[in-house]
Amino acid sequence: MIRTFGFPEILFVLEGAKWTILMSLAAFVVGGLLGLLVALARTSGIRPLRIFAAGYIQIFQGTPLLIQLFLVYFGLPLLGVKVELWLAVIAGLSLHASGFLGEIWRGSIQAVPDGQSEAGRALGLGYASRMRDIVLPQAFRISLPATVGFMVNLTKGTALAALLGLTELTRSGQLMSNITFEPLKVYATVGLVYFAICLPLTLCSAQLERRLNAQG
Amino acid sequence: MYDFDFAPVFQAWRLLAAGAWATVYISAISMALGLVFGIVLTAMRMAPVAALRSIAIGYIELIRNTPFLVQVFFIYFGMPELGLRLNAMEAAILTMTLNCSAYIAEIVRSGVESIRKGQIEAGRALGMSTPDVYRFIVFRPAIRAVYPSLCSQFILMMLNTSLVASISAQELTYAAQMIDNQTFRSFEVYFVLGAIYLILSQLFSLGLGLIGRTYFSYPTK
Amino acid sequence: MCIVNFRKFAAAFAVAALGTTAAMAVTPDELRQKGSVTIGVQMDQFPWGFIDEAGQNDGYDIEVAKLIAADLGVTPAFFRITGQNRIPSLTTEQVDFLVPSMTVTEERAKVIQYALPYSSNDITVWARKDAEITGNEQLGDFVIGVNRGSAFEPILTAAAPAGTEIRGYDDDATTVQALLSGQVDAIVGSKTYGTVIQSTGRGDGFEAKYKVADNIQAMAVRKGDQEMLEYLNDFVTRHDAELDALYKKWIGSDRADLPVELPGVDFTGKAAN
Repeated sequence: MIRTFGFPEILFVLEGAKWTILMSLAAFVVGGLLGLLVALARTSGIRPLRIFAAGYIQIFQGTPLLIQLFLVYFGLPLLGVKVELWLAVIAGLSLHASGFLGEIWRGSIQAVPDGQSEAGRALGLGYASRMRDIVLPQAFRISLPATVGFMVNLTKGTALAALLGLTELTRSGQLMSNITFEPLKVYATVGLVYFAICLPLTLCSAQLERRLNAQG
Repeated sequence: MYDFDFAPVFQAWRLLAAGAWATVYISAISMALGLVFGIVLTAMRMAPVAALRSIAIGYIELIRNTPFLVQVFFIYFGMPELGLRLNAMEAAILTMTLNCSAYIAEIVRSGVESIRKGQIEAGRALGMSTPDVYRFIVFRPAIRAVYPSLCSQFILMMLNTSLVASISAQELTYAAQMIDNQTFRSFEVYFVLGAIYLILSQLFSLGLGLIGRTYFSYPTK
Repeated sequence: MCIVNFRKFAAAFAVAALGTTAAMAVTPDELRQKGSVTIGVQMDQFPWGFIDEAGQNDGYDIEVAKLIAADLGVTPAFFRITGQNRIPSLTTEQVDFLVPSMTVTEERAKVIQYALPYSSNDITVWARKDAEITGNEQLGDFVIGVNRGSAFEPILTAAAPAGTEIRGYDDDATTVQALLSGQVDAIVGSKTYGTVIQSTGRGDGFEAKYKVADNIQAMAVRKGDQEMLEYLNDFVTRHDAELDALYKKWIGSDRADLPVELPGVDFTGKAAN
């Protein structure tokens, strides 16, 4: 029967949070690897690669995450790929993350002075070595605040998996609101759980930014 | 093998056009209100009164660290319990305004912080009134400095409107899902929907660029 | 211009998809061998499907689904569907079949294969007591909520006068929530909305106004899963008594006599597509 929003219901919501955290981490790792490729393509000397990467970034930054998730979810089976819902959601979130991280990292790669890369070339270093040993370590440091900041957005973005039916934090809240009819309490609780997950990341990002500014 | 059929989606173009218009409409209103409220928040955030600063910081962090979808549900389904009942459109615009003002406040603050104290003192020395100093020396140059970030934020917010379909605000995504429910052509529907959002974001980017050149360009003479 | 491009895209896409093999049909034997079955159930419509205190799936549909799994001799795994992904979750093979208290409609029958009906519902108008609604004509004077994507929506659209303000929500419970919180004046949907409204303790302010239409519900399999369909058709016939008892237990009334034929819907899977 319809019941009040109490301890078992809060537990159910917290169980959903587990998925939220797992999905965020998975999408960040996979999206990060893809995003690095996008950033390298966007800053490469080969024009078609640059154009492709620019288009890729434009598509992911110019359409709603919800639509991206739905397209991956409905599109993968059409390509003959049969995946579970949560895998489709992680795939969608990863693609989304790769577009945004690609753009963030493009900026930081370009923020490393050209002279650095030129000096490497003068020393006879190849592209891979110049990137790995000279440019990327510096770019990584520059991009850290924005990268951690994006992790917050990605974590909040996992909420949209609720609209595809995945029982993560927001969907758990929806289901509990549907059985308790106390949306105020339920969504306040759900909001607080997100806040508890995201605030440390936000603070960390701000801290990193201050440190970077102080050094720069 | 799957046969693609976009015809049923294009046949419903009237629904999509009406939805796109609603999306533009609620985005534009929320952008304007969000900018105003965001500037007020910036002023609070930088005020000499500690209480005001704390309220502003608490508000900004609360908004920035919770998902927009949860905020929409809270306002639309939760607030009536506290006696505030808004229809779907009002709730959508209110949530978008509240959400976007927190981000705008942070962006504008970084712009204001880039203004040198000397400029304000120079304005005072020229006999400008305090509101004029704020208008011409603080906020306008500050917004000019951070205008590109503001534009990205506006476009992100426009894309966020796709979520208010869940509270029955009849915008673009709501229209598309109506078509999906009648045609079961899910992939085609969402493909076209994505293309429309992409076009909308390019148009917004163009429009905002134009506004920027008109109102926030650097004085050339 | 745009259409031409989409055709091109579609052609390119189809070529890419050609390389993949057609999906194998799911059969009861295959499920028995595997020892498990994935059933799509809707968890946002008390008492048909909901989450109990222990965080487990429960409700009429869940018990029916468990009965099927027991009959097959396999362990059930439940896939929680939403109104929006209900049909795609079946057609994209996320689930083996659906037990979703889903209304049989001609449009859906073109995309999925219905088994023989196992349940029914009265589509009812629920509203504030002071709202004067006695028939379809008055719907136009009020703001009406409905579960969008459900079969209630097209029925409401057809029944209500043109220009009626209709608000669509993601699921049944949210629709009821919209009525309770005053976002809409009336809602159109399941007869069990009344049970929900009563048990929130706010039943005094609302009442059933009238019945709009009958509503026949059936399980569904993918088109072409003939063995699965025949198994479910046989199951529905064999377990008449158990289904009656479950309906009485959860829905609170006797299960009506259900049709075995409906215009435009083929329950045998044998009509030419």
